[in-house]
Amino acid sequence: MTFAPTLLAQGAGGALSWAQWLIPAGAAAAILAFYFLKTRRKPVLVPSTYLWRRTIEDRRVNAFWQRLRRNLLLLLQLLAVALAAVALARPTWSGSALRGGRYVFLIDHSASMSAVDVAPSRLEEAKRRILALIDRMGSGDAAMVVSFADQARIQQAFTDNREQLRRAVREIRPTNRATSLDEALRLCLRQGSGAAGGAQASGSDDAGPAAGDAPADLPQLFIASDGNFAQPEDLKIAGLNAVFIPVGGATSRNVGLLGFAVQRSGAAGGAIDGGPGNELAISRGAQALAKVRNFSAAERSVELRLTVDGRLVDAQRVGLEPGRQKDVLFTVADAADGLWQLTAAADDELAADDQAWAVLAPPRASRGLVVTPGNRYLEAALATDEARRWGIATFQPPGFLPTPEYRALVDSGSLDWIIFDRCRPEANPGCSTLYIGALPPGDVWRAGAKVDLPQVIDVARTHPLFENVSLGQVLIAEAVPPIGPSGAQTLVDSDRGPLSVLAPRGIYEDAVLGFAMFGADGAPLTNWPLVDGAGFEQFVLNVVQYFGRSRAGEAPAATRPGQPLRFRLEGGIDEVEVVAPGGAVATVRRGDSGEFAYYSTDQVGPYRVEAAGALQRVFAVNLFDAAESQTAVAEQPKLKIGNQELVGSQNWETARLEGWRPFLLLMLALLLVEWYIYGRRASNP
Amino acid sequence: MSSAPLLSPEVLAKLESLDFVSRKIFQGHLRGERRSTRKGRSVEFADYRNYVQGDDLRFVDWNIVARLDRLFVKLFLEEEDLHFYALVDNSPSMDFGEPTKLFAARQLVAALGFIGLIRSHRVKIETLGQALRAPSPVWRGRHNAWRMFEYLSGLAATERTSLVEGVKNFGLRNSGRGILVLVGDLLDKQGYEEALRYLAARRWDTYVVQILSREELQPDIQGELRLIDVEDEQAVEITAVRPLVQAYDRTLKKFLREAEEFCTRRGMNYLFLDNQTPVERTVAETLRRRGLVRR
Repeated sequence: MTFAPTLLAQGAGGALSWAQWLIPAGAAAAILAFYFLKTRRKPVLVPSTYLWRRTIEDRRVNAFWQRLRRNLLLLLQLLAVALAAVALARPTWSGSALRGGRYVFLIDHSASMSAVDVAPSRLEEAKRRILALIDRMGSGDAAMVVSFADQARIQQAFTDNREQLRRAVREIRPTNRATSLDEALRLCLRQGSGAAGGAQASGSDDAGPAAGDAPADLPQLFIASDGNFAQPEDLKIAGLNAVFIPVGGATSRNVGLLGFAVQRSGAAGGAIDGGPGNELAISRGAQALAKVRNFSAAERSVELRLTVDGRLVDAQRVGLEPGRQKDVLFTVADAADGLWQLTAAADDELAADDQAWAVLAPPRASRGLVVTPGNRYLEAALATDEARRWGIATFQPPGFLPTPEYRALVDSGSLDWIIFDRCRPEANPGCSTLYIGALPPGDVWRAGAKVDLPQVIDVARTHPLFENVSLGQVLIAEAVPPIGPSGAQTLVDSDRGPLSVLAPRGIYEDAVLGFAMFGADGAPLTNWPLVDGAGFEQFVLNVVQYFGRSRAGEAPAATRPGQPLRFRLEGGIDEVEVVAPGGAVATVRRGDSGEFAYYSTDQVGPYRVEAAGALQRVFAVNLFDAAESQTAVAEQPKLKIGNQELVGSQNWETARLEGWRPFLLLMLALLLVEWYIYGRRASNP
Repeated sequence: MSSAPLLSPEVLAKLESLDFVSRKIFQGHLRGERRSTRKGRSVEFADYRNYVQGDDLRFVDWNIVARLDRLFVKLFLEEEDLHFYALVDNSPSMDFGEPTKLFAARQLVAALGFIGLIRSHRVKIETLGQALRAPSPVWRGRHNAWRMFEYLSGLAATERTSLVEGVKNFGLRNSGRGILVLVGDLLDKQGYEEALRYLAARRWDTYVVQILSREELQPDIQGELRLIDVEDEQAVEITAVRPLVQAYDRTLKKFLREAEEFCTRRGMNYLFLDNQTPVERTVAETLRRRGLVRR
């Protein structure tokens, strides 16, 4: 007998049809009816029924049971019918033939599992079901407990100690992370195959060993989840033996925030009150944009409350049709710096997506370094009022690079960006960089073959770096097309290869211009700064704004739960304390690269970075995940793993052992007892 | 039972020596046998005061005039009568028990009324079911005793007025002050609270006497029964088993306790009687202990 699931709909109820079920139900009803019909009451005249009524009201709750208690015969009759019905249903239960079974219990603890549509929560319900399965394990069975959200974690490796398994299940805590079953399946198959040998998993982009050769002994998987995630359809697992245990209700009341961003109005320069000597006159207004979606099947009205550091700033009531999303714009005239919080006052089952946070830092011009042997166009572009409002640049010759002063300046963390004009440092600095006619150090960047007179064919004008820049009329004498690492983005393309490439480097970005503006002899190699409308000054301004954006008062992009927080701090701070939304404090030391990294972002909310009691930075961690906010579970939940479809059912049973005979015998014995009692009562009433 | 005399001569003889004690002192209408706060005419001296023009010269203390050459008037304590009211519940529920609760109530009221009459108090006996505009006669003096007994003997348990309504009607008919004894079973489906609250708000010195029959106190019933209320004929179906009877007993005790507490809290006297207690014992012992009567 295997531990294979059998749906209740076809299983325990399979022996009887609906009509047949009516027979025992009718018999029970008839017995009850006869019982109540046979009483004939004697009328008695009393002065007042007032006290009797009060007495009966007091006892009404248990009066029925009191009556039943006295009536053994009725109880026995009902019990006999119940037993007959159970026997007719041909009850089965899991057999003891589970010796040596190997199971993996996967429990989803992502954000959507915190929904409270099943009491006390989906996660608790999932844990309860898995605990019930652990109780059913036979001796000699081994199992593993894995919790998964965006990452999978082995809570308990293979063991046959059921107490350890139970403890591991109980220890699983809810998180606000996204869900990835893919990762969890790979993990437990690796474990499973390592232990059992033969199981292989292969993704479509993974050129691993071909799937298909049947594994010898793949552990059976039990996946307790609400199924709200991208299904790993491209994962092909040969001989996968999995059971999907869906948790959660089919209807959703959830209303979730899917986005929240705060931006100073006029940040692009339009609303800035220009004029010489008015460098920091950035408008005090700000705009907050929120995306809110109704995941329920009914129309909902949600009140959105916007607070800054706990102070109510604005509130709007938004009506949402079922399944619709709305963008809500808050315009705040007098914007304060600090922690902006948006609360959707929706009475729904998932709390994590009812709040969103964003940080508006005080505006400050960024600090930059330009290392150049001399570039008058660059100097002119950085000297404009507009550019100086956004960033203050220091100019140094290439000879500055090997000096200890350069090292100290870079290590201090005070620089937001560096422009290397025809030179490069020995190591990547801890900030974003632009290389003009040079490549970043290291071997991830490669130079293409030198080309003459490349013709610009495409400029990524949607990218902030090349916004309002037009290179159509620009002539370039010679260029070395840069080839960036994987993940690099070509910003300017020519007929001879890319001319500008942007690539991320940790939390920083490196942009490379594949052509120098001046030759070694000082002769200009491009007419870009001179072409009317080509926008060289605009490009430099874009660089300053883009690389210095976190300093310019723009809220940094929100971090999702589970993503690490990486940051640099000025002022030689070596150790900081990160205060999580729940109040947990973690001490983070500065890494070798000068960065601080904090990983425990399981919960949504503001994370405060403090050093020596002073608040340094605030990071907002938000859910913003439509898959997690979509809490409704399908009527017939399905889980598609590769080409295999697992249909979950709210109720399911394990393998069947026929067991109706004992019930029937018990019923007959009961009948005998009843006859005996009846006979005794009849003979001496 | 109603044919039997309400009070035997022996009982009447015992009652001769009793009088009411009122915790509140009221003004009477006529001069009676009770001391009043008012100064007036009696033999009992109270005080002197200065003579003012218009005072009756008969009360000037001439001895003082002789000694001090000043006019003083002697004041005497006024003795006044007391108003005694009895309000009897004569709903059909009172017609239960052996003797009936109504009989016990009539006996009690007769005894108290008799005390009132022989002490020259005003005695007035009314029933809950009495119509608003049909006041009862007022008796005074021993010679009216037989009229009062006759009136009481004529009371039948036929009137179906609720306790609240009866009490309110009584209050509208009688605005005076005095001792009020309410006799009934308080088993009103609307509750007794509102009625008693109404009484507490008036200036009567109120005594609430609750009478229940033995059959109500210790019901001797068994089996599947349909209890029919004699007043509104509503039925309650019960299965009289020991746990239910025990529960009834608990409810009853709670009911009595609540009624007593309710009265005590509002400055009213509460007294519980069953229909078996002899009336002379009730009056001569219980009520004396409770301070309604004195020797």
